Amino acid sequence: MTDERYWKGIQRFNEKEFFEAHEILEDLWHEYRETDRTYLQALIQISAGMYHADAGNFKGAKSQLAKGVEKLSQYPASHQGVDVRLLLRDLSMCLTTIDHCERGRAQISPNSFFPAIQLTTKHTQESETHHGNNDH
Amino acid sequence: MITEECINCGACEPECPNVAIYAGGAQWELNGATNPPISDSFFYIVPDKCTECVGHFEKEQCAAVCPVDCCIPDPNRVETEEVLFDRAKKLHPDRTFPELSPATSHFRKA
Repeated sequence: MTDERYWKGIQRFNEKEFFEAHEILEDLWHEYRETDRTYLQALIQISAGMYHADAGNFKGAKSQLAKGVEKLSQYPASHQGVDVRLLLRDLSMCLTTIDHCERGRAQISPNSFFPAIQLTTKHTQESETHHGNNDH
Repeated sequence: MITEECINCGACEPECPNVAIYAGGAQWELNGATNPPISDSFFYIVPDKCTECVGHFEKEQCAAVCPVDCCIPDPNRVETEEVLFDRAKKLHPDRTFPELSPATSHFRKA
């Protein structure tokens, strides 16, 4: 995946700018017609789910995250520079937290667990180079 | 309908051929009358203006562009192709609609 929007979307997600992450990835998704379109949609739904969780819409969060997880589960452990296995693990923990929040057993706070999209080592180096060349 | 998973990206609104989609909190219009918003929190579809794109496209355009799959058929309002097509004709009285085909109705498969 060479489109800068992909890496920028991931970066925004990891900065907990979930709405912006979804917007950037959606912009790419609308144009994308190759086999990874479903993968991109998974990332968008995960971003949307985290946005809803952050806003206290736990029902919407669970539904979106579940849809994102289902799509993401179709991909190998490492895909397009992302450690999918770790992300799925984190999302599973996050869904448990959100479920507790929905039941009133926990509250979302700045210290709450948020998943991060971890890059594989090779792509961490590549994306750092890529961002270094494109930052204004 | 649009579910509460809507993230308010607005991608769906311009796609609707019947102008049936409105932003949360916005009043909606039909036959010269203005009505209160159906949702204040997120985008919504006015059921009396939605034809599920029958008469226009092979599938629902709002669902096609929604990245989070929150534009879904309303399970509490299941309408026939005939009802939807009649609505399309009433919403666009100045337009002549050709006979329905797979290109203009999701009820028909190519």
